[in-house]
Amino acid sequence: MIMKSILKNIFPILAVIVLASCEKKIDYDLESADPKIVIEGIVNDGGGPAIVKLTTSTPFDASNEYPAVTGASVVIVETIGDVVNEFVLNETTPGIYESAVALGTPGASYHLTVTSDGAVYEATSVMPLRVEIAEYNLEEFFGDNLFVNIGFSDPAEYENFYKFKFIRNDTISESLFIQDDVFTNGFYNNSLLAGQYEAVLPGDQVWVEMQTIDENVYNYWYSLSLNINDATAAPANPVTNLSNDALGYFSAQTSDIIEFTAP
Amino acid sequence: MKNFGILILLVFLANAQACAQTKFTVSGSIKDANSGETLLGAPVGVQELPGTGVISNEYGFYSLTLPSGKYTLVFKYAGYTTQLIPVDLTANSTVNVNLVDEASTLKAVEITAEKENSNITQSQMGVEKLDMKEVNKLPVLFGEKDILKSIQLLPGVKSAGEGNSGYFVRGGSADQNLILLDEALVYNASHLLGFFSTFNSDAIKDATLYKGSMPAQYGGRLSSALDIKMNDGNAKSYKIGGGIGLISSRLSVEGPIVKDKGSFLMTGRRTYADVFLAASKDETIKSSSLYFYDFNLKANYQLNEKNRIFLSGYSGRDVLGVADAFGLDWGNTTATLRWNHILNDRWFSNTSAIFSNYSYNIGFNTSTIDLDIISKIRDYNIKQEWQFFQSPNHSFRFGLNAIHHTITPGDIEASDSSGIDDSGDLQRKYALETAAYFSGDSKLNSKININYGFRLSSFSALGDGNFYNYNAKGEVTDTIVASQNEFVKTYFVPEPRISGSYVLDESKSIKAGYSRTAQYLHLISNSTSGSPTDLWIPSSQNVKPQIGDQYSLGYFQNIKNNAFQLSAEVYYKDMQNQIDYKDGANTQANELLEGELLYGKGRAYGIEFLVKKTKGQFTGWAGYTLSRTEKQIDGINKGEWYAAKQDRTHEVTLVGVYDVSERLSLSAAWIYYTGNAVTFPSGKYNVDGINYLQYTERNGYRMPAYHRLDLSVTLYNKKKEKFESSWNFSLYNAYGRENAFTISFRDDDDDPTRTAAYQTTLFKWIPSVTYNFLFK
Repeated sequence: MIMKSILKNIFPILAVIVLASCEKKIDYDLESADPKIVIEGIVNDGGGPAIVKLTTSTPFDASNEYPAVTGASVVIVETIGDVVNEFVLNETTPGIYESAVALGTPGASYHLTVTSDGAVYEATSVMPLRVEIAEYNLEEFFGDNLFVNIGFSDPAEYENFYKFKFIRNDTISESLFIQDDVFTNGFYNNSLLAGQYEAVLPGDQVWVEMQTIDENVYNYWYSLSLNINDATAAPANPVTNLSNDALGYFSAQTSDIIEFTAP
Repeated sequence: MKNFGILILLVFLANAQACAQTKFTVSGSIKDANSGETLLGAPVGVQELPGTGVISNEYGFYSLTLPSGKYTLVFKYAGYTTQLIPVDLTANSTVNVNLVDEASTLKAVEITAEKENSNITQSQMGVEKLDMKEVNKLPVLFGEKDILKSIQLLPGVKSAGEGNSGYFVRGGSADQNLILLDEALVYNASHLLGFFSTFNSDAIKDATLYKGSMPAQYGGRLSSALDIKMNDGNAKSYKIGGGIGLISSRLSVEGPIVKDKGSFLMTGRRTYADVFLAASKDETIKSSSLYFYDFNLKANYQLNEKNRIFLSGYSGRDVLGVADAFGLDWGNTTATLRWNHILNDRWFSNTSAIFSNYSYNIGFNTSTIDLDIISKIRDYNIKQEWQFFQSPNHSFRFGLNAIHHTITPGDIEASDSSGIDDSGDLQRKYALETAAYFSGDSKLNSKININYGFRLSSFSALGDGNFYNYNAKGEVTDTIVASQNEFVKTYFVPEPRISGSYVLDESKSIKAGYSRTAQYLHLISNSTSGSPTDLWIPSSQNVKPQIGDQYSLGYFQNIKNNAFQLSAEVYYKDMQNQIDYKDGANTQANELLEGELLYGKGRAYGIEFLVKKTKGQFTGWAGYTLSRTEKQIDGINKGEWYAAKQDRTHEVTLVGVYDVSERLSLSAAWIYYTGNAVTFPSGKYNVDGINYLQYTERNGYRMPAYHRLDLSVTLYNKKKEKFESSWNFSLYNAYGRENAFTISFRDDDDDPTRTAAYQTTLFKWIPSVTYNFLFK
């Protein structure tokens, strides 16, 4: 249910209302862990190349620039039934590796192998079948705020997992909208993308991508979402499909995009 | 265990010998002469036999068996005029006593209602009795006096967070505290996200906290028992009392049903913080609601000399709503029906039928979705206890208890337009928890007092339902399908308890104790401060009962004619089958939740120092605790021991009450503790254009130290024949310390190229004023 995401995204607003608390910037001396590799690999069905981005983590007090991991070997193996294809990704800009050809077929399985500095990181993701946005509109919620509502039909035959990526005026939203179909299997869904940052004002440029993702990737985003807004007392690195203690994820996903200017 | 059995045998033999003389019993009830309220824990002494005495039980009943002869009974209870009653014991006799409250004359109110040096002689250790008169004088948050806040000022008891009514006892977590209101289990003792407790102090007669070895009649929770008893209501005349505060008000009515035969008490409370929300300019805030209400009801009726019945009930609800879009409401309902029966002069019986229900409801509303999720935990509980007052030196309790639990994790109701399948309610869980217990209080000689007991508890997970077995990865390997009331898994835990005191002299003693406790229901919470939507799960074939063993040792001394009580207690606690989540566990609406859990053990140890001044115009205490609480769970922190959230190295409390005159009382409390153990990041990284935090170890960091000073002034208006009133002014956090409620790490508001730490402070100076009144 999208409700879970909304509850999480709305909680900070509740907290403000209830507590009317005050916040200030402080100095807190954090330790600096050894840098870890961060892998962000996406294969989608949009007709583009597979892209894998390699960076490392940095100390908390460093600037928000993350060192690129260059010179790595990045290979994706695609399995469609009995047909196996191997794609070697080339480093197009430092830390960004792309396949030479477009790839991404719903139902296919993708295996990623990254070799960097002698360490090997692997992950497998199966691209779910495609589900498309049927309609969208702006809806009043939470007083007179307007939010984007996405309507789509959940296929009954499969377990489905969704993620919505929301960009407003070129800014990526920090709220994570993820959804399973445990209580909505086979139903027509209305997913309201409501949170702290998503109220739409007239004239806003809105871009929404609906992704269908596999269960492991859903679990990755779900566990990542627990760390946001202090939802858990015991935050931890999210559970990932990547091996060898790497940060990040590898997702074969479908993509359906809408784009509009708010009236 | 073996030695323990021998000890019990010895006690019985000692008793058997003592019974050889001709003896008679004087028994009866002890009541307040003005209100008719029974007085519990009131000492009854014998002038001719110093050192001989008993105390009244929780229903004000006492029984004293002596060799035949002429005696003078001494009823000396703190705050009441002492009464001497001569008796000629040639047969069993009944002496009912009405003690006169001394409150009308100026005198220092003592902190405890105990015999002056009973803290030295009593065998129980780690026990704290709260005097409501004292609680009412302490400074409070939002002007609402509160016993759960007051107990947090005691050594060994720690607040679960700023303004929070949750508490940790000797390293235990908040869900390991047994909280009973007239014997009914209260699952969630907090209102309004913890800023208020569910206990309206107007309705409370007495509260006792067992943090050390709890007597055998208490069970089902690992670390402590808080036994709260409601007032019976005034049996002589009608009274209306209440208080008007800035954000809450309360009203109570009490009086006789039939004069001196029965009485009732009704209290109610309502907060109106949401009135202020309506004044807001923000539309969202304006259309939000935020309040709680609760009611207490108690009635009792004396059927005849030997039989008395009591009915008590509580119902409360919190309502939180945001702009019609989102609503959360939760609350407890409890009801207790009790029958006191005096079998004979020395045997007292109580039978209780208890109902307890805790529920919460999450509502969610958009133009298309209308959804409600209802969760509940409901208990039916039957309890039978016999008390046997064999002699002044030996008294015993025997009891049986059975509780049927029904846990409803989530029933879903959705409108047709919602596109939500509401046929798939989460499976209900059923369980039966039973116990048989025996305990004794014995004075072996003038030096040694012991309290010993044995509780055999059992817990059965019942059908119907699916019970899943999991592999090490948490994946389902097979499913047991159980039919209705089928016993799927049963646990038995023997729980021996013993504590004793060795009196060195009138003013010094050494005490030691051991107790084992078991807990079968577990609160699965990973939120920062506890949420009303945290889940209770029963033990099953996967989730084993938590078992705690506590060892404690203490030295107690009174000085200056019992004006000062000094004590030092050390404890070590070992906890088995502790539960935690896997990293990233999906805890909401998850049928396979048990596959997301990890198990391990815990240990807690510490030393508590307390100096208490109980006499004079100035009373109060100073406490210091040095402690450590750790957990070791496979799968967390690489299986190494780590500091539990509630681990706080140092804790200091200073509490003072100064009764300046009959009309003016001042009080202050200062608290200091080491910050909680917390998990903070040790790095950051970027995924999908957003900065995320990198973590390395569980609870590897500390919150900053917490401290604050609270002040309070109470002005009593001149008492009139039919009316009294008082004003209370409180200032919470008087020097405006900005204590960290949370620290979050995120993008820097001033510099988007960096990240920064932000501290949230909840309360910086909270003044409050409350007007209390009483029509007589």
